[in-house]
Amino acid sequence: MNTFQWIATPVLALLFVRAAFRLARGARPRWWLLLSAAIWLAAAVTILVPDLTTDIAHTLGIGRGADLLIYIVAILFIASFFFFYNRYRRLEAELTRLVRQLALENAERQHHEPPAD
Amino acid sequence: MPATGRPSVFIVVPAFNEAQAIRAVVQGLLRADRTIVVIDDGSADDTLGRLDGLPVHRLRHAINRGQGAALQTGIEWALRHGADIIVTFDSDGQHDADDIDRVIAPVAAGDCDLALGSRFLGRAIDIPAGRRLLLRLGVVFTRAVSRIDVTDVHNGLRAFSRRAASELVISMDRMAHASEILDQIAAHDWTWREVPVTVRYSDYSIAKGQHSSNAIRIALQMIAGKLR
Repeated sequence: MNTFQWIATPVLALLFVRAAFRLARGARPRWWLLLSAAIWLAAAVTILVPDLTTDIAHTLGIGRGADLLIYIVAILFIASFFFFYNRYRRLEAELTRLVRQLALENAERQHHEPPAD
Repeated sequence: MPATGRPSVFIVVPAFNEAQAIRAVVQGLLRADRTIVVIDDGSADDTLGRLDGLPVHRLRHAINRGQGAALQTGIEWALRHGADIIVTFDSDGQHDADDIDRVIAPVAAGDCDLALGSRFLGRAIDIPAGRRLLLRLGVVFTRAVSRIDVTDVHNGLRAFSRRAASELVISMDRMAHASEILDQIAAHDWTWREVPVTVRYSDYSIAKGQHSSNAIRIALQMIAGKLR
C-alpha cells in the first residue's frame, strides 16, 4: 500500500462506519445514508484496488481508470448544479409566496381595524 | 366590469427605499375615483411612514423580494377588493400621473385587456443617451424573443383588465417581470395596445433606477425562463 492509501482508507472506513451506524440506529433520510455509505465504500475500494477502475474503464472503451472517474465526477457535478439551481429557484418562489401571504394577511387585519390616529 | 357606473380602478405602486420620493408621487395619484395601494418591498427606510395621513392602502413585504413580486402582491390585493382595472405605476417619480387616464381608457372601453405605456410613442424627457440605446436594444431583443411588436420595454405604467390581472402570474420576482408580462400576452391571448406616455428622468430616478448592467441579467433571466 502506498502512503495515500494508508491515509485515505481509514478515513473512508470511518465515514462508512459512521453512515452504517446511523443507518442501523434508524436515522433518516435512509436513502441519503445508504447513498453516502455506498459512496464511501466505492471510494475506498477504488483507492485500494486501482486496477478495478481501469478494468471497468476498459470494458466501457475508456483508456484509463482515472479518466473514468473524471467523467463520472464531471457528470455528477453538472447534474448537482442543475439540481441545486432548481431547488434554489423553488425555494425563492416559496419564500416570495410566504412573504406575499404575510403582507396580504397583515393588510386584511389593518383593513378591518383602521389605525387609531 | 360593472354593468352600470364606472369601473373600479386600483393603482398598484411597488416601492423599495423610496422615502424621498414616495409621498409626492402618491399625492399626485390621489383622486376620489381611485383606490391606491402601495407595496413596500421590504424597504430599509421609512417608505411607508411617509404615507401617514394619506388615504392609501399600505402593504409591506417583510423582506425584499423584488419589483415583480411586489407587483404581484399588489395585484392580488386589488383583485380581492374588487378591482375592475389595475394600473401599475412606479414609485420613483418617473411617470406622469396625467397619463393614467390615457392608459385606462382603452381597457375601460373594452378595446383591450392590457394597455402598455410607451415612452417612445410619447416622450422620454432628459433620458440619458446610454439608457435610450439600451432600451432600444431591449425592444429589439424583446421583439425577437417574445415575438411581440412593442416600442418600449420595462415601462412601469400599464393598465390591466380584471381578466388579464387574474390570469397574470409573475414568477420573475426581480426585474425580468416586465418581459415576463409581455410573454404572457401571447400565452393568455390578451388583446393589447400601447399608449403614448411621458417618462421624466431625474438624477434621483436615474440613481434609483436599474443599473444598465442589469440588462444582461434580465436578458439571461428571460432566456432561462424560456428554457424552464
